[in-house]
Amino acid sequence: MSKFGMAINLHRCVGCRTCTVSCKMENHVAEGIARVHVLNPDGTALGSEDKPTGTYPDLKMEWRPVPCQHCDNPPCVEVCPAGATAKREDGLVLVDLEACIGCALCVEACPYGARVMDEETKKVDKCTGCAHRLDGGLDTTMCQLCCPNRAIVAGDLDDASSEVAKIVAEQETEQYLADKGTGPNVYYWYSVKK
Amino acid sequence: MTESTTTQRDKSALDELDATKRSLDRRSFLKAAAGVAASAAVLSGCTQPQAASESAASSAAEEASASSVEEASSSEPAAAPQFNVGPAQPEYDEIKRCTCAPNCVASCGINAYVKDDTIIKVEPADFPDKQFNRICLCGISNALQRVYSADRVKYPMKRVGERGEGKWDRISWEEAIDLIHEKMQKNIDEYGPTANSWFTMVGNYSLTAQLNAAMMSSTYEGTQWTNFGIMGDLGCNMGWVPTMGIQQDSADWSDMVGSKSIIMFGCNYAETNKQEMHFVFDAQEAGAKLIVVDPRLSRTAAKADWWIPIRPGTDAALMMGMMNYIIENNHIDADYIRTFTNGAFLVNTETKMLAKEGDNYLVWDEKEGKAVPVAPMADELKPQYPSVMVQGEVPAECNVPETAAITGSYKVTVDGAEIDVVPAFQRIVDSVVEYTPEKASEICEVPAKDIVELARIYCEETPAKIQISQGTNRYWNGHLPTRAAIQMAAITGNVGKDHANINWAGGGLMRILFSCNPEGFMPYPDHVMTQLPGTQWMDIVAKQEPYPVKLVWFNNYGWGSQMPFAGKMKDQVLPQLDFIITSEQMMNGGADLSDLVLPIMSYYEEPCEVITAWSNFYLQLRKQVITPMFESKTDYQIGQMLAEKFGIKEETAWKYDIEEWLQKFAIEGNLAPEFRVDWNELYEKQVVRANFDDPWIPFKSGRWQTPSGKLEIYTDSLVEFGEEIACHYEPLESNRKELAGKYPLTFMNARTVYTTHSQHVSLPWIREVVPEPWIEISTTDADERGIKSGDLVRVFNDRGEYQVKALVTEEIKPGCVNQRQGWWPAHFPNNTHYRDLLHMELNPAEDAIFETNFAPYDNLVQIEKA
Repeated sequence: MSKFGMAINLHRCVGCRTCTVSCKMENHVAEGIARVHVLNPDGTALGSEDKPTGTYPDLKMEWRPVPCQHCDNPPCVEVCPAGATAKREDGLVLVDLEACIGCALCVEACPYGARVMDEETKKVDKCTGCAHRLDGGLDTTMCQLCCPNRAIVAGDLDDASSEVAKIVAEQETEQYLADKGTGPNVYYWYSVKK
Repeated sequence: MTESTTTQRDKSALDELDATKRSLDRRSFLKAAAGVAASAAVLSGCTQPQAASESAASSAAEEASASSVEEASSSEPAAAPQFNVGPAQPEYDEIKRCTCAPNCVASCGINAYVKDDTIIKVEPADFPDKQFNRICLCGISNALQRVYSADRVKYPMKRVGERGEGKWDRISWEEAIDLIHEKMQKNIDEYGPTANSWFTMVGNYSLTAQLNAAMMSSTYEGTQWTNFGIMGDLGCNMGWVPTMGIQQDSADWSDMVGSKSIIMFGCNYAETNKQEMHFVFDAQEAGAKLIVVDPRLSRTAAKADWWIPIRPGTDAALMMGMMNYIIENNHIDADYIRTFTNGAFLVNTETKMLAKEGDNYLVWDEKEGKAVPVAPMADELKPQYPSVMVQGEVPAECNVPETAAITGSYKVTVDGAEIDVVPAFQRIVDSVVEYTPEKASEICEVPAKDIVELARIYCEETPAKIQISQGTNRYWNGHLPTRAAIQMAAITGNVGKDHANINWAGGGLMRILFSCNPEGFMPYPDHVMTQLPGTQWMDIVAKQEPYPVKLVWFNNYGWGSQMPFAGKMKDQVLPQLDFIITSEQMMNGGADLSDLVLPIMSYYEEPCEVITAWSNFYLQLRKQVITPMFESKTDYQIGQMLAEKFGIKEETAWKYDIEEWLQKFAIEGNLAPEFRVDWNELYEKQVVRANFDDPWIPFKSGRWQTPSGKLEIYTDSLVEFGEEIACHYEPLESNRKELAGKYPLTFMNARTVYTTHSQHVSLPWIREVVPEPWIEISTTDADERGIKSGDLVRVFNDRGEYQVKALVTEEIKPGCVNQRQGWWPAHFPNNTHYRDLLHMELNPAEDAIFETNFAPYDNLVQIEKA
């Protein structure tokens, strides 16, 4: 068995949004929407609005790239009335665009904001984990390939020799909004602790 | 309209159709490339080129998914969903390598996926060292959006309305070249050839694009405006030249791994060198302590183990305080000072000049109890910049005796007269006495205990590396921090050592500009240019002194947003110019103010180019990736057309096609042996490392290209400015000067990670991330003015004003504001722009060394709600 997962090193993320833009190019994401959001410390996503937390000079500033978490218990799958979305055997949560009726229930259900409506097509749009690349034998997602600071690792959590599995096994990691019970498969960690 | 123009117009209409067709073709390829489930029936009405879900699938995808489409379209809701993810890569004809080099300093190799002569996607290309495989949001947006932008300059455009009115006539290249020839010849006849002038900047690291002003001005014996000062990068160089003898150098980035501490002054690599920051993270993960000195919690500071906020423009004072601690606690490296610097050289205490006996310097030999001569190193023994190679043995007469004093006070007899002398290092000792940590703290606003701790770390947690960069550079006194940092590194013996050193800029970029064969960059034998300082171009043109300048031709330069003091420029300078030419890719602020705009190729259209980087020693070679868009040309091609028109092409190096030119002058005839790589290998592989040691560590040879051949921590040519050794004085518009009463805020304008200066900020994907310009203001300063995030504010000083939205943030030191730079006038309300607020005042010491640096952060402003 294989299980898709990602490890994102937040120490190496400088909030540049190359993940967002490389994904838009690779996956032809529609104008005005994104599949990977990069959150500022206060939860906003625009690059022009990022600011630190704290009071000068005791400050902290970090960013969190949020792709689809390809959850173990994906709330988006549960709510889809059209049966258009499901978790593949390898763990990727995907959408059958033919079947999608554009009801946006999944958009509301996802606590990560990982699903967005493409207003033009009236279909939902989301991170596929670059399934096309992985299925075709490439070993990186586009956000991973393009990240200038090598913050993103994607791979098979069930393969103990994979980089992502090693990080999860050896490092202190956290799952975003783990308390929502979604069982997210994106692990956040810091290679340098301050 | 003449008949010929009418014909031209008809032709233009046809070209326009062609262009439209190509643009439409591109859309269809994007559709074809979309790697998602086929849904042609649902989505056929879509027109958005980038919309994934409009994806009428490629024939391959369609074939692969035909059955699933059928199933899905007739399926019951309960049926299992079908995921057709499409092919791993879009259908493409070829992957072609290019180099993206917009002066972000990295020069990324790019693999462009090309389908029917259109770029459909890009990926990072391989380097021999895969640490240099990289790409970013700017490079991606450039390849997919700037190349195909509707705002491209498509044809030669001649102004028909008033300057800046935006009314243009499309003309042919023939007409454009005729017009330029006519204007230039008229100036040559009426005023002399220097009335024609050229201004090149660094928007594209293509070698010939960067050398354009030199090539053109020399060919036509015109004026070349120097660009190092007005680009704002020269301050650090002005600290380097007197001491190190060259403008800049850095160890390879990988040398950071192994440093115990890395101290950064004014470096925001996470944004400005975003392709190098991963080396910093590598170093931290290997155990280096990262310390960042900056008035803002920059993104780099946010990653630091210790961020030290400082009052802007006072880093030199901080370092003087550190040196006080270093000397007080005897952390100096006396052997290094004596052997490799001119610290033992005796200084006449009355004149402050180095005491000399003929050509020889004098040092005090404590064993002999007398002054003994030290000969300057012969030039042929020193590295000959741009090369770093050294040859020959240094003769004993150039060596400082091991028993020479570096401190003390002596009397010597020179030319029959007895004079009081001290070793040069003693002058440094004396100069830092007053900079107690407390005194330094009072100036730089870093707590005294932090200054002591920083100095302790620098001396004890070694190897310790100093990085210094643009944040310190962009004040009117911007050479002082670099001078101080070099002095600090020198007296602690940290120069020329692994994982240590003082590092500023470096790589191959500047070296190849200076080592290109003169027969190439001065293409007309016996014809030379007159160089005038670009920092003084406004006054020179406004006054038409020392001689008339009537034509200026800009290339590679977003001068409409990146040049200071636009009010003065528009009122006093531009009216003196009869003809302004801008060679550009985009209709931007500079193009708007021109009389003739010429369309320039993107990286992906250039037939051939050689590119280097500020951050590494790779030579890269571009080959054409797509057919040039519209009627665009390279600067070199335009130069060739003009040479032909003047009837001189065959007598000049303009006769070579670009590949020949590059082979002959950039590589095989390069003055520095390091760049003479095998042309065929470079042409084939498109990336070859120039022959510098790997990793490169500067100054390991222990020889400098200074008058003495040593690291000159004492510069007697700067005595008249009081700058013979490191010192501190206030920025021109210091927030402690009287002007601060009226304009209390220091106006920084730092780069963001989202654009290289003005180049990417207009592109759709970038604008999705950062929709509009903003200025950062501290909560304290905003509260005092009743300003909230999102409020439109008016920013002003005596030079001008503009309007922008505020972002209230704790990130920035109270008393400072930060306008994120690169935005065009068109992006601000009423076409106002922050460049209007920036002065271009000269610094006499910098001018004595070489040239003043433009100081964009050294400007005081006031802000109020608009």
